[in-house]
Order: sequence, then C-alpha cells, then structure tokens
Amino acid sequence: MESVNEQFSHQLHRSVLIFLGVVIALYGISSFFPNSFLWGVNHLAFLSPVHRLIMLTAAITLGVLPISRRYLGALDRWLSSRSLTRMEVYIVLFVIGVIGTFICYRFRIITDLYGDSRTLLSLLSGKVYAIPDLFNPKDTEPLTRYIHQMAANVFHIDQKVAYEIISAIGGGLFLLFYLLFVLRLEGSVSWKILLVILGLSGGANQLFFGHVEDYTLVYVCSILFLIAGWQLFEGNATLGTMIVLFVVGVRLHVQMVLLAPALLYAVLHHRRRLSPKFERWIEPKRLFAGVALSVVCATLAYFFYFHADRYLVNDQAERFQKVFLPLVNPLPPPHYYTLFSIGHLSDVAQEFLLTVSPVAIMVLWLVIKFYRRVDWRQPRIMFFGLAVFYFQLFNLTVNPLLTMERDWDMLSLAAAPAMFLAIALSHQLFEKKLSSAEWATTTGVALAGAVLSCTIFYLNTTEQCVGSRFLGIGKWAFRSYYQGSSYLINVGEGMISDKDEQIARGDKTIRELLPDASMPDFELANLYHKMGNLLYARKQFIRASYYYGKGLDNDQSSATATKAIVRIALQLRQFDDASRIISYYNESANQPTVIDFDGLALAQRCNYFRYLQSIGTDSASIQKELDHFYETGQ
Amino acid sequence: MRILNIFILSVIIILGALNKAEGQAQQSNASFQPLPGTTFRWRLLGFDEEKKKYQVEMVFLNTTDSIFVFNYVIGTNRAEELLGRVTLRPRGQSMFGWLFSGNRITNIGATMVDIQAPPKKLQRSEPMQQ
Repeated sequence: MESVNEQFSHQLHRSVLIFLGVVIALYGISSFFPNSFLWGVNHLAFLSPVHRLIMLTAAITLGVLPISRRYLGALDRWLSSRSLTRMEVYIVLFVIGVIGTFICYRFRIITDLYGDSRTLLSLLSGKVYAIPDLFNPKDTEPLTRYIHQMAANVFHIDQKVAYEIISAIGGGLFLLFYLLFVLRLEGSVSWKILLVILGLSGGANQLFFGHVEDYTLVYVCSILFLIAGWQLFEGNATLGTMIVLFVVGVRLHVQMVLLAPALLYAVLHHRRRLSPKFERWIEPKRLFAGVALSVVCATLAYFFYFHADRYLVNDQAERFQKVFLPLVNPLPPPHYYTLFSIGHLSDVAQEFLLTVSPVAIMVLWLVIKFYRRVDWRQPRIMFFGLAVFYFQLFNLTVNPLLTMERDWDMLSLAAAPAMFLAIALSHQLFEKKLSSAEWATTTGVALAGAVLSCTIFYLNTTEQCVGSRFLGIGKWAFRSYYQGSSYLINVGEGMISDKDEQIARGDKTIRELLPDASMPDFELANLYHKMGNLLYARKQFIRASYYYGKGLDNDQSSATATKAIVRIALQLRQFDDASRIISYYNESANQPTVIDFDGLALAQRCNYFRYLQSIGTDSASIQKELDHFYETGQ
Repeated sequence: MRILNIFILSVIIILGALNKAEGQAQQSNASFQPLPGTTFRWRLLGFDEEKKKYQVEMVFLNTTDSIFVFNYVIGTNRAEELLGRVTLRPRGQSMFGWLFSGNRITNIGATMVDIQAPPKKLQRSEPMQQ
C-alpha cells in the first residue's frame, strides 16, 4: 500500500512539474508571437521585455517546490489556526465582496470593443424594456437588459456606466458566494486554497471588470446554479433553487438553456429516492444513449432546420440566421473557416485556455494521467460533465459573428461548468490523499499558471497593451475567421497616439496581410480606407488617394471611398475630374431614390468650384474656399 | 342601378386621377427651362433636423444631342443663392443637392458657356481588328 502511495506521489510530482514546464514554455514562447494562433495565451507578448521576464520568473519561483512549500505551508498554518464564528465569516466575506467590487470597477476594461458593447448600447437607447418583454420568447436576454435599463433610470446614470457598475457588483457577488461555497466544503485547508486560486484565476472573470455586455449576470447565475447543484449531491434540498435559478438564467441569457440536460439529470437523480424507476434513467449507459440521441437531434436540426452546413452568400444576415458554423465556406483559404477547419479548432482551444482557469486545466491534465483513480460514475461528476459537454459543444459549433477573439465573453460561460467539474475531479483525485509536500507542489504550480493567466486583467486596463493585443488578434483573425478582422486591426492601430506611427504601422500591417489577401478583399478594403482617412487628415492627399483607390479596387461599392476620392480631387484642384466621378456616383447611388444626400451636396460643391475657376477667381480665394471645405466638409 | 354603377366608376376614376396627380406633385415640385433644350427640376427631400434646413434635390436635363456647358444661379424664397457650373452630356442629366433655409426654388438663371456638337457615331462598316 505504501509503495502504491509512493508511486502516486512520484507520478503526481512529475506530472505537475511537466505541466509547469508546459505552461511556462507556452506563455514564454507565445510571447514572441503576438500575431499568432496562440491568442489565448500570448498575453506576455504585449508587455515590455523586462515585465515579461519578471512575470516568467515570478511564475517559476512560485511554482518551485522549496519556495512553494514555505509560503503555502505558512498560509495553511495561518488559515488553520483561525476559527471564526458564522457571523464573523459572513462579515469577512461581505467585506471581501465589497473590496472585490471596488477592485473590479477600479481596474475595469478600458475598451468597449470586446463583445458587441456599442451595438448593445445603441439598441438600448432605442428601446425601453418592460415587464411584458421578459416573457417574449424571441428576446434572448430581456431580463439582463431590463435590470440594467432600470438601474440606469433609477440612479439617473448613463446606460454604459450602469453596465460597468453592475458588472463590478457581479464580481463582488461572485467572490462572496464562491468563497462561501469553498468554506462550506468538507475538505482540507490546502484543497480550499487550491479552489480559491481556481476560482479567481479564470479568464472568464474579465466579465466582472466593468464589461459592457449581457453575459455577467448570467455567468453569476450559472455559478449559483452549479453551487446549488453541488449542494444537491451533498444531500441538501436545493432542487427548487436550481429550477428557479435556471428559469431566471434563461431570461438573463438564452445560453443558460445549455444547463438543461444537467438540470434534468439532477431532477431524475433527486426523484430516484421517491421512485426506483428513475434510477435506471440515470444509469451511465442510458445517460450516454440519451446524450448520443440529443447529438443526433442537434445534427439533424443543424442540417434541416438551420441549414447551417453550407453558406450561400456568407453575409452578416445569413451568418446570424444560421447560428452555427458551416461545413463549406465560399471564401478561399486562408479565410476558409468552417466547423472542422484547423483555424477554428485552434480558436476553440485558445478560447478554452483564455477563459478557463489554468488550475482547472491542470486538474484535467492530471485526470488524464490518473483517470483510473476517478470514479466516473459519481453523480456529481456526471452532472458537471453533462454541463461541460453541452457548453463545449455549443462553443465548438456556434458561429462567432464578431470573431472568436472578440466574442470571448459569449463563449466564456462555458468556463463555469469547467471550473466545477475541476472541483469535483480534484475532490476525488487529491482530497485526503496528498501529503503537505504534494499539496505544496500542486498548489505552487497552480499559482504559477494563475499568475501568468491573470496578466489578461492587467492588459485590459492599459490602452497601449489593449491596442497591441487588438492588432495581434486582428491579424490572426484576418488569416482565420476573416470577417470583422479589419475592425479589430483598425481599433488597435487607432489606440496609437502618434498619428505618424499609426500611419507607419497601418502601412506595415497591410503589407504583412497582402500575401493572404483575396481578390477582392473586403477586409483589406477597410484597412486601405482607414489609411486613406489618416492621410487625408494629415493633408497628404496624393498618398490618401492611393489608399482610397486600392480600397476601391477591393470594394467597388464603397460609397465613402468614392466620395473621399472626390474630396481629394477637389483639394488637388482637379475640379472637372471630381465632377465626373461624383456624377457617376450619384447616377448609380441616388437613382431612382435618393439614399445619400451627401453625394448630391458634394456634386454641388464640385459645380461651385468649377464655377469659381471659370469666372477667373484668384487662386488665394479658391484656396480659402477649399480650406473651408476641408475643415467643415461643406 | 346603371346610374349608380356609372357614379361609383366615375368616383373611382376621379379619385385615382387625383391620387396620381398628388403623387406626381410630391415627386417633382416644379420644373424650369433655364436654357433652350434644357430642363431644371427640383424637389424637397426632407428636413435636416440638426442643421434646421431643407434638403433639396436638383436635376438639370439635356433634351438635345449637343453637349452643354453653362453657369447657373439658383434662388430660393429666402433669398439664398447657389452658384455652379455644369456640363450636360447629350440626353444626359446632372444631379446635385443643397441645404436651404427656404423651402422653394423661386428663380433660376443660366449663362451658356459652350455648346459642342454631338460626338460622331462609330462607323461599323468594317469588322474590328483583333
């Protein structure tokens, strides 16, 4: 028996240290590739070399056994010596929750580009949510919007600020309930320290840092649901709470419905006490058959209801309507992004690495090694396993309309069940089986991974880092998902304060992406257009016209590029050419119905400058008019 | 009964004609002939709430086979003036627009600058060389 334990201890040490090596190598190597497919772990690439080195050294130091044994041993002893009354625990947790809220708000995400914040805010400014909307089945997240809108109205604050504050409060609530859950668990202090690191280091916690989107409240709700699920399998009567949380969660965001199979399992598990016939329904074989059947149904729906297997137009409306990624994409490589393309599978893996805590990943890593030590039939494992499966299946198949890199928030809800599955697995794997040295090794390595993973919270607070990251993930998105990548790049470059550097960087980016461009390439057209705008703003009209022209080569329907070329022609005093171009534009765009009055007004401007020139107006007066036109656009 | 039918039919025809006339009036508020062989039409498109001005669409039409180049001055009921020069292709048109405080074009003046003969048609008697 002793030899078996020694063997386990030896294997555990080796596996954990290999994991540490992999994590350090992954974060270290990816820090040299900011534009690569490693966008879920390359956080260090956006820090200065000195900071990179400090972070890597800190991670290695925290993870090495002699050191981890010291500080974790001290922490373990200190926590074990504390004995607080229940009221004191509540007060301490409340204070931690308040401090957590403050920290989340103070260090909130600096950009509104993550998710679809801008669209959300413009949507909320045009619609007032009321109680009947909560029962509208076509609305996917009415309760979240109702709560935020109500908060903004009651406290007379801006809609965006309401989202930021509620997001931070969500962080405080998460801390409060998660720590309370961990404290109430039956287990050693060492295990609980590991669980605290697990909870705090998930990338999905970005949702709490003033994130303006509809996912924070549903994430908190799903955490509470999973806590109630854990309690249910401990023998507590929490099924009613779970059902209420599920119903509320579905109205907070429809993605909560992915927890329905887990809830069904919990209901059947609960009912088996009352009637033995329910027992057979939750046998692993039947459960597996049920999951297989649901996957078959989902596949049929994919082909025959959503018709998602093939995209015909591949425009925004079709992608939105078909919900899932296609098997065939009309775009050529490298923009050939489908359900089973390497780029997509890589993105799903990166999304997992970004949002799920490295501690959970470490536990899953160890489970692969010690899978025989896990009782896979344990109801708790099955419950959380079901939840993880359906969330991951959704993440694998759904079409991330804003690119996977921007849509991390929608996909991060899968991190909650993954976290609880890791807790359940670690409970079986470690609890009461590890010595203090083994705990020190495991927790030290977990902390090392957490330190590196949590760099994302810092990046989000610094404009320069966020800008560089957008540029990096935008370049990767251009080579993979493609649609919307130019927006990421343009916003990233827009965060560079020096305009000359912005132009130089933009030019370099276009040259980098050209080998992967299609013809025509609409994303590249946007990049050319942005360059044109920058140069026009610097009065470099000839260079601007080059970029606008290249933009038009790639997107001939671009009205703004055409009008920009007309404006440049006017500034270069090529009035006849300007008049010809805008006439052509108006005849194609404004007939039979006028849809762009600016085009008509620009035509009059051209006529006016031609008139001034024809009557022999002196050059200085024409220049004065041109300057006025440049400043005002009229 | 026949009289009633004729009455109903007449009412329908009259209402239809009025409706059509109203529709045309909305389409084109007025037209002028600034120069022989040209027509000028304008219409209100809407009101720019931000600038508190009316959006007016204007079109010069060339009804001849010649090329016209002329300068124009357009006035509104608020005594605003719009100046410009336009080149009209044979049977072609030129669209433009402006924001006016006034809501009606009251006068238009045009000065012919140049009239060019219509371009010669292509001779197709011989096959084109590849």
